[in-house]
Amino acid sequence: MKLKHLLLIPLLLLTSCHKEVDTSSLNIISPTGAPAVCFYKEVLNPNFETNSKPKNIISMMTKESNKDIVIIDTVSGIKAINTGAPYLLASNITFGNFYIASTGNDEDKIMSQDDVIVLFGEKQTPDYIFHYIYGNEFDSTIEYVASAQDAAKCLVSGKNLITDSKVDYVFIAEPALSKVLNNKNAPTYGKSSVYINIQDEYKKKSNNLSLVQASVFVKNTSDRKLVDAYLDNLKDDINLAISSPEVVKDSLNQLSNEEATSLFGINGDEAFQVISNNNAMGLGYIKAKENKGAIDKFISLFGMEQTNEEIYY
Amino acid sequence: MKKFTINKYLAYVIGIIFFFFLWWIISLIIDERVMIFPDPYSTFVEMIRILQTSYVYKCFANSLSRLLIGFGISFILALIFGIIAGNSLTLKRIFTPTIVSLKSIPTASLVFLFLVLVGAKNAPILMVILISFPILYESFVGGIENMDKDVIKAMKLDSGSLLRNVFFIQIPLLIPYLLVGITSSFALSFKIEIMAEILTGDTRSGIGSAILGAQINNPTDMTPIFAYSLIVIIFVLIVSLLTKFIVNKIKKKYDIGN
Repeated sequence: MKLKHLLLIPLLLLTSCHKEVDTSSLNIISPTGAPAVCFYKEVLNPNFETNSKPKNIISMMTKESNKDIVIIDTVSGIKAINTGAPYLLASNITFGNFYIASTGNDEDKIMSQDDVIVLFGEKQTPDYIFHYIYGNEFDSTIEYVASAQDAAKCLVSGKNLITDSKVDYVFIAEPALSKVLNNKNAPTYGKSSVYINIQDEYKKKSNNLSLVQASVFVKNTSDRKLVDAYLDNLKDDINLAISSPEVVKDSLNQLSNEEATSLFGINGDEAFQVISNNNAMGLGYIKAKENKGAIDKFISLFGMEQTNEEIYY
Repeated sequence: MKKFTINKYLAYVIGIIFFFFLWWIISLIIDERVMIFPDPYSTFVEMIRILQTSYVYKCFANSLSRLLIGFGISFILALIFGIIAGNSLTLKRIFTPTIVSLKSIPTASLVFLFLVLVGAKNAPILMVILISFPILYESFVGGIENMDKDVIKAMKLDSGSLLRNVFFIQIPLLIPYLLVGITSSFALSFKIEIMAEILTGDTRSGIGSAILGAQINNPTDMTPIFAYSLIVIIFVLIVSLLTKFIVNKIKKKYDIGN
C-alpha cells in the first residue's frame, strides 16, 4: 500500500465518524410536520421542542430567547432577521412538500379554468407559489380555505364544506396528502390522486432552483463549535433518513402513535411511508450560503429583496 | 297551584339525557357526523378507545400539574391582595384599574408575550393566573366587605396586631368565600389551561396538545376532538361535584355560611 493511502486512513476515519461533541445542551425548536421529521433523533431530548403554530416560533426569535436553533419557513425567518432578530440563516432543510391533488370529480382530468381549485392560506406561501407557477389563469375558480387541515377536508369529501361547492383540485401538503389518500372511509377514496408535484413545476419554472421551504436559523450568540457539530450531524441524519427511512420509523416508534403525532405531526409508520415514496416530504440539507441563488429567487416571490451576506451563518 | 318537584337525582339524570338528546339532534341536523359534528355514540366509542391509552393520562397529569401551579399562585396572590383591599377602601380603589384591566384584557393578545417570557410549556400557567386571579380577588374582597360589622368593630377594639387579627379572625370567617371562589373559578381555569395549550401550540403532552395532535393526525375526523372534550367535561363535572360535597361538609361541620 502506498504511503499516501496509509495517510488517508486516519483522515477518512475522522471524517466518517459522527461528531462526538455533546450537543444536547442546545435548545432547538421546530414547527411540526416535515421540518420536525428532520430531527427524528431528538425524540427523547428534553431540549428539543416543537410547536404547531409557526407564528409562535417567530415570536421566540428574540434577544431574550433561549433557543439556539430555530427552524422556521425561510421567508418568515429572513423577515424576522431583517426586523432585528439576532439569528443567522444556516441551512435549508426542507425543499417543498406541496402537491395538487385531484378529487376525482373532474371528468376530463385536466385542470382548466372551469374547475374549482382549493388553495389554503390566502396571501401565504402556497398562494404565492401557485400564482408563480400558474399566474392568474385560474383565479376565477380558486376558493381559499384557512389551513392545510381544511384543504384536507375538501380532498376527503370532494366538496368545500364552507361554500358547499364541488371541488375538483386541492393544493395540499404532505403528510396530510398521504393521510387523505390512504383514508378508506373517505368519500373520495380510490378516486383522489396526486395530480401535480409542485416542486417539479417550481424547478421547471425557475431554471432548476429548489423550493427552499424551511430553514435552520442559529442564534448569533450560540456556541459556534457546538452548533457546527450539531449541523454536521443533522446533515448526516437527514441523508440517512432519505436513504433508509426505517431509521425515522424506529426512532419515532419510541413514542406512542399519539405522542409522535403530537410532537412531529406524523407517527413513525406514516413517516416511513411518506419518505419511502420518493422523499415526498422534501427532506434534504444544503448550506444556506451555498444556496443563495435559490433563496433569493424564492423570497422574491414574496416581494422581498435579495439577501445580504451578513444574514448567513 | 301545586309546585312541580321531583327527586334531585332524577332531575340530574333527566338533564344528562336531555343534553345527549340535544347533541344527537344537532348532529342529525348538521348531517356531517365525522368531519363537522360527531354524534354522541361515536364520540363515546372514541372516548373509550382514548381512555385505554396511557397517553391521555400523561396529558391529564401535565395539564393538571400546570393548572394547580397557576391556580395555587393565583389563590395566594388573590388572598393577599384581597385582604389588603378588603381592609382599605383607598387601596381597593388603587387596585381597581388593574383588576378591571386584567378582567377585560383578551387572553390571546398576551400569548406572544408569555411565550417569550416563559416558553410554550409554561405560558398556560401565566394564563391561568391571569384569568383566575381577578375572580378569586373579588370573591375575597366581597367576603371581607360582607363580614359582620360587629366582628370588625370588635377586631378594631382588640389590642392584637393586624396580622394576628387577619390570620385568626378574618381568614377563618372568609372560608365560605374562599370555597365559593375556588369552586367557581376552578372549572374555568381548567378550560383556560386547555385553551392556552392550544394557543401556545406546545406539543409535549397536555389535553390541549392532545386535541391539536388529534386534529393534525386526521383533520377530517372531529370524533377524537369531541371525545377529548367529553373526557374533560366528565372530569370537571366530577371535580365540581366533589368540591361541592366537601364544601357542604365543611360548612356543616363549622356551621358557617348558612
